[in-house]
Amino acid sequence: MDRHQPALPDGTDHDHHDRLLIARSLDDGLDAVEMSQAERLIQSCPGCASLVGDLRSVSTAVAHMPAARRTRDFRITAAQAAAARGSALTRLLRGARLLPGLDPPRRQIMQPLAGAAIAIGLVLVVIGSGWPSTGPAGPGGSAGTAATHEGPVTAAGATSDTPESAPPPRTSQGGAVEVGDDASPVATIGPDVAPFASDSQAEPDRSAESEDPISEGSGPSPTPSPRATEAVDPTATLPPNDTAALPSQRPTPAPVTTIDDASAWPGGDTGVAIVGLVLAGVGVLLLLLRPIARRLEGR
Amino acid sequence: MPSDQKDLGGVEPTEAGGRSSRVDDRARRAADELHARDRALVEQVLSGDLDAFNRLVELYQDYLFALTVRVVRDREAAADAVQEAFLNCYRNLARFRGGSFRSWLTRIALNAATDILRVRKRRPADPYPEWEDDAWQPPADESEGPERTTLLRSRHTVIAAAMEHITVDQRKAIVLFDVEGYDYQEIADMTGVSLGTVKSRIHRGRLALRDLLLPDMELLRD
Repeated sequence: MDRHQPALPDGTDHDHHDRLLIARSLDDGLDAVEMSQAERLIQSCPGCASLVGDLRSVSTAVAHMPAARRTRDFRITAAQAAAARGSALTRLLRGARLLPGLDPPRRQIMQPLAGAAIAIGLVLVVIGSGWPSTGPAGPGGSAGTAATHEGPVTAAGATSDTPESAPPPRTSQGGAVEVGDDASPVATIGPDVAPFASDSQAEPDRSAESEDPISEGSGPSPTPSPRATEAVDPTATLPPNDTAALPSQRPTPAPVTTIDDASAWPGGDTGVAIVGLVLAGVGVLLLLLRPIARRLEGR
Repeated sequence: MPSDQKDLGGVEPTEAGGRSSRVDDRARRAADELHARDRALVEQVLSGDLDAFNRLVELYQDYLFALTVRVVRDREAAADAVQEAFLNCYRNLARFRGGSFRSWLTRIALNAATDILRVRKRRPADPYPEWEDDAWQPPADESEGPERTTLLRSRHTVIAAAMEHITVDQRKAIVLFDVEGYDYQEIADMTGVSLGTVKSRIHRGRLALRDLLLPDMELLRD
């Protein structure tokens, strides 16, 4: 609309006149310049003059619309009042503004907040589980586990998530874990990693894991990878009576976890996953708050 | 003119249809008295007096129902919204911080009406209200002749039908401004939008109504 277009005396260009300006002129919402423009349009254009008259008629007619008769009595009973007051819990939640109150729905942030908490929580869980950076996992290995070998590469034993089955290993000066006298399960652990660090606490050497056929967990292999032999030298750590048992000759291969990445985050990804789980749980709780509150309030 | 408008303190409507932009001292004093009365009742309710709350309900239920019907365009849905509004009011009465109880209650009712409209939008049940129902008609005025009564009925019918076709936001703004006599700022406070938005909704809504009513404009002229 061209607000500044001069009105023609014959009003032929009424379609191009600013109807909104005419409508606004009905109330005292125009400044002096706009008001003079509106008055000029109304005086010179029959269409605009007619529009003003019609708008006045509409406004007056709407104002005098009859009021609908009430269909019921809205006084509340004692039972309704008790239900409306709610339990002590709902009163507490309402006082803390955790329950829907008087704000219009568009101002309520509970659901978006809950959705965001769930989304962030799930992302943290996924990150905590090590999924994004994990290569192809072996049959027995889950995402985020340290390089788990079943077989004869090292002196064998159990994985590190069963610490009770493996007594705390002694660490040699070089940092490698010594194998117990009874050739109990042993995990080779880097210098700074706690002996019973969980799987996810230790960051595996991914390149070694992916390139090492042993890490595929397909069973005994006659040729241990150089990396694995670097981590644990069986002949160096095994007691003399066990040196004869070369990896390839051991009858019952057992899994061994090599945790040789000393830069693993202390506290590990498990912490991230737990934080994620808690966050997602809080999100779900927030999401369920409204229906729970309504149920509590007996609505 | 809704009967409750007297409750605002005897504010006289302006020529443009019920706008209470200018109040004299007498009217202001009357409004202050009403506010004091409402505040006293609220305090009684907060101390556990349910009868005091029902007194407030009696004072405002007609007004609130008429307002909500104009917005929701369905009496049953409006009744549900008003009931919900009063329960919400009772539930959150401790949050009332003084001022106009009527405006505060209106805001709650508008929110309840908005909720109802949202539900109806998702599950449309009966989009056409019963316009011919007697409950929609103005009280019979014996001083009016039958021709005048028929004219008024026709006028109200076409206006009600046109109101159905403007947006809910425009409808709320027009009802609050033209029918209930609130000023721009009060409407902005109640609906949570800016002053400019309120003005725009009112003026665009009126233009839309005028276009819708153009074939029946003769009915609207006295």
